[in-house]
Amino acid sequence: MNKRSLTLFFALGIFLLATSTYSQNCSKTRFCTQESYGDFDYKSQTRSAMLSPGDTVRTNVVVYDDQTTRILVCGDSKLGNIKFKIFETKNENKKYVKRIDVKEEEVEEVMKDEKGNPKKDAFGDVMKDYKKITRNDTIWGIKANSREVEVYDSQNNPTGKNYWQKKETMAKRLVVEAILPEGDDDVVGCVSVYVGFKIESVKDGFK
Amino acid sequence: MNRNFLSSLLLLFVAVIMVTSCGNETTTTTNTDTIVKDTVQDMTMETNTSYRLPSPIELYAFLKNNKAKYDKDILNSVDNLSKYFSVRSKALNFGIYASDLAYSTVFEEPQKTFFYYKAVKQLADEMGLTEGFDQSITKRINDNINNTDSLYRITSDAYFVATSHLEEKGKKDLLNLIIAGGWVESIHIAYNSVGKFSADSKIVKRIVDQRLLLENLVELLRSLPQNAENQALIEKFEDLQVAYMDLDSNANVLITEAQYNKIKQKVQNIRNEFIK
Repeated sequence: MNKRSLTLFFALGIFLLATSTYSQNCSKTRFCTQESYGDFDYKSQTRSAMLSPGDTVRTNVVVYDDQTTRILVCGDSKLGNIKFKIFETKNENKKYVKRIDVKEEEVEEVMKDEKGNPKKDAFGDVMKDYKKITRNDTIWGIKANSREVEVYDSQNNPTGKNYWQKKETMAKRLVVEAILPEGDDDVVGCVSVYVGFKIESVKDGFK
Repeated sequence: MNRNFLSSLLLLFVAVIMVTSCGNETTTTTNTDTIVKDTVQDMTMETNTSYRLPSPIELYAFLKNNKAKYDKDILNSVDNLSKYFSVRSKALNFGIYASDLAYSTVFEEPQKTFFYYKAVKQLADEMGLTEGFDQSITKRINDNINNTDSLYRITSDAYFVATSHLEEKGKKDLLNLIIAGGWVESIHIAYNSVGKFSADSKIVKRIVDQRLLLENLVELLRSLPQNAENQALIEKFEDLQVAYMDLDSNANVLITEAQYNKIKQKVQNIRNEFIK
């Protein structure tokens, strides 16, 4: 094997090693500035993914009403300026009968006399009989219609901050949509959707 | 291209795979994520949409803030560990025990934290999950057993690392079962933290809020491979969703006691199926 082939091997090996290790480190790497994170706990609903320019990803989360939530989206600088939007989402579910399962069962029944009192045998034990019954179990399905209302756009953000933060008055489902600018399709990098929460007691340094 | 070149390439490829594989994976769960569009569902399921649930830790922090009392008797006994043979039952109960671990940590019960950590670690080892529950975490737990602040951070970190790792490794099937187990346990604990029912109780209101988590959980479960077991699992949770939908007809109250008890019974039935 000549020197050029050997060099190509090692380059290939290092490339494979780098990309496979890299994909495992998306969640372990912090891409935003330290001050952007604040003192929020991001270990609950944060999502990381390997993406390319032009990709869009959506993350559906739930926020409670007794805590402050901060959401921000950051990634590898080679992916460019990542925009994000947040939508409030509400499902309008309708149920429908998926099927009815018919089951036959044998159930124990106490035998009764003409007066409705339990019958007893010669030993004084209550007499029982078995009878077959048919049980109908309704299996329901859910038909979901989802409505979304935009509540934040990082491109039109009057606060000038790179994150959304709010203490909701009721629990809500939110969709965080991260939009990568167009670019070279061959470029791959990490993007993290950080969903942080803060409760004012329980633990100090709730990070 | 000569034979030596090809042999070297093959050896290098194998070496790279061995170095980068994480832990001793014994599970035989397939990695395919099949998202099936339910034909009666109006909402299109996008393949780049992911669904998240708040960690059970958030719920337990809320319970503690609202003066709930710790009750060890409502948790899944570690004696049940020996019952869980299939990967499925291990994954579901990994979620349940991880939830019990989080509860014990938040409520500052170091002994129980230790027991439940051992249970979670045992199931993690049996499923080949090493990220988040490796020897270094075990040592940190041992070294900090009486430091509740540190225990909190360690268990919170372990949960995040384990779930992120499962997602990044494409093991969403396992992850979604773990999340299902963890959520069922958390709502079971929340129910047992309510004394006498009152529609004005903050804990009852938080139980009502679990409806939103349930919606995301059902979406997660719909991405599981289509088989009879998974279909039956989804139907159990859809049945629970239907019980929550009864609340939509309430005019003056968030939830009636009858509705509360109906949901509670369905949760219990699901949990009993998981832990038996």
